[in-house]
Amino acid sequence: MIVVDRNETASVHTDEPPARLNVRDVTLSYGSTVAAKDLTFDIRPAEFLSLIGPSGCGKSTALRAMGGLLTPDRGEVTLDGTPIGGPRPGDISFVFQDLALYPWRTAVRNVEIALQFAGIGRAERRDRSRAALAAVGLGDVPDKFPHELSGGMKQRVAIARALVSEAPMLLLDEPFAALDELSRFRIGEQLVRLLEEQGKTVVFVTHNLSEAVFLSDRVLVMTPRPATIKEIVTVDLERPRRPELMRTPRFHELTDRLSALLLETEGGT
Amino acid sequence: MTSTWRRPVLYVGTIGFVLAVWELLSVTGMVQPLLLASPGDTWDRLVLLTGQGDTVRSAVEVTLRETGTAFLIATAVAVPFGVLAGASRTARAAYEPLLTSFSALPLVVLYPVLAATIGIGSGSKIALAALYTFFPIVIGTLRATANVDVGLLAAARTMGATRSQQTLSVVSPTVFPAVLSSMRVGLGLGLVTTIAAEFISGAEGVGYQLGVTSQGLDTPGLFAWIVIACALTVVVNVIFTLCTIVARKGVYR
Repeated sequence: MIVVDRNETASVHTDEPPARLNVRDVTLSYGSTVAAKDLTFDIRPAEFLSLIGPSGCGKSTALRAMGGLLTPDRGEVTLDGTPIGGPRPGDISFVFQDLALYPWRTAVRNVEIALQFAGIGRAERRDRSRAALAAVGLGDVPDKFPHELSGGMKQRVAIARALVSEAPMLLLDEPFAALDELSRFRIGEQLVRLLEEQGKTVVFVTHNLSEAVFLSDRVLVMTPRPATIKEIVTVDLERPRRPELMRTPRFHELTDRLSALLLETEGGT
Repeated sequence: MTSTWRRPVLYVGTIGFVLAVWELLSVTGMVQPLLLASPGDTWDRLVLLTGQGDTVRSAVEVTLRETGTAFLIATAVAVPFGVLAGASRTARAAYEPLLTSFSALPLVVLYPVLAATIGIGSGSKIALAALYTFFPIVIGTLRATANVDVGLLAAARTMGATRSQQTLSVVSPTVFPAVLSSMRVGLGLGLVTTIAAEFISGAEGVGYQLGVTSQGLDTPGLFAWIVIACALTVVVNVIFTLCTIVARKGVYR
């Protein structure tokens, strides 16, 4: 049901002007520390954009600004032409690095809370939440609490919660950081399929280069703090993405290119 | 011994041991009857008191009413104040040291002042008990609110939660256990304070009866009222526990 809705939204968006989210000359700081400086880039509808860069370079800070959780010191973030000015639950969903699941709520009620804040009635939010859990492969554990779920399952609950609101844009902050390589790969593959089907626009912060290449349309490489844009690499691999892609020469060329860029940024300091 | 029986047997055994020592001390005359009434005499007096119209009932009612009123007033002020002050870094820095130092003061010295201004009736007892109940609750609530995971709040904000939705759906369930245990501490202190204040002055309540019997050298009567006071504490705690079960369902809806 969700899948059908998403496809409709996606087709509407293709008629719109190219950029969905614009980041213009954005400078961000924490107290006296400048986290990111003069960032300018666009995110196109239905695009998967990854942000990579050295640890602590300000990727997450930039993502928070895109989600309206942080106000830039200078510059502006606009969504469809209007300044973002705060969280926009109907347009943008967030998945946090630590997942931010509510430990006293079951899986399905963790998903439901997004709809509860939006003021949607009990029966509808129960149905939609169960459907969202089923879409991420968790149809059988709606009544388990987070502490009863594995890391990968908790991860999927957080993704289901971001999907249930049907916001067209998703911001993911290193969501797979806590997972082992195999779960990471499985969930990544499942996620890319789901997001391709639903035509979501995604910004993804990660440390993992092959993950970035496998999932993305473009990869934005950032320099160490204060973060600036080193380069934006276009991933010209066909969609839908299949695991076999990871064994192609082009895939390796792209990951090599990213790691070379990252090494350059580190050498620059 | 199976595990089902271990606890009841332990309880009965412990109580039996205490009673036996008590009996031994009084029967052998090791402690004078003026200082320690025997369990038998205490029991006889309890039977007499409970059969004697409503002396016990009205004393217990007065003490319960005073403690309960003090507890409700203190909670109604302390919990909202603790949540508000705990949520803001500035308010926390301003109030937390103040509250912690106030709570360490022997507030009972205020009783003469309260008695002079409010009168020696129930009002001054409620006021003093409310003061003693207030501090543990406000400090516990403030600390618990300060420790709420900011990530959980940020997530709620991205999902469009208003401030009141954040308080209701994120802050309340997080602070609930800590607030509840601070309320239990406050309630215990409030009951002790009420009884002590009744003891100091006044004309009714369990504390007043303790005072009358001890000053009248009526040792069996004193011990009977001590037993009543202990039973009252147990009852108050049971009532509180029952209330928390209901409240838990409301908070974790």
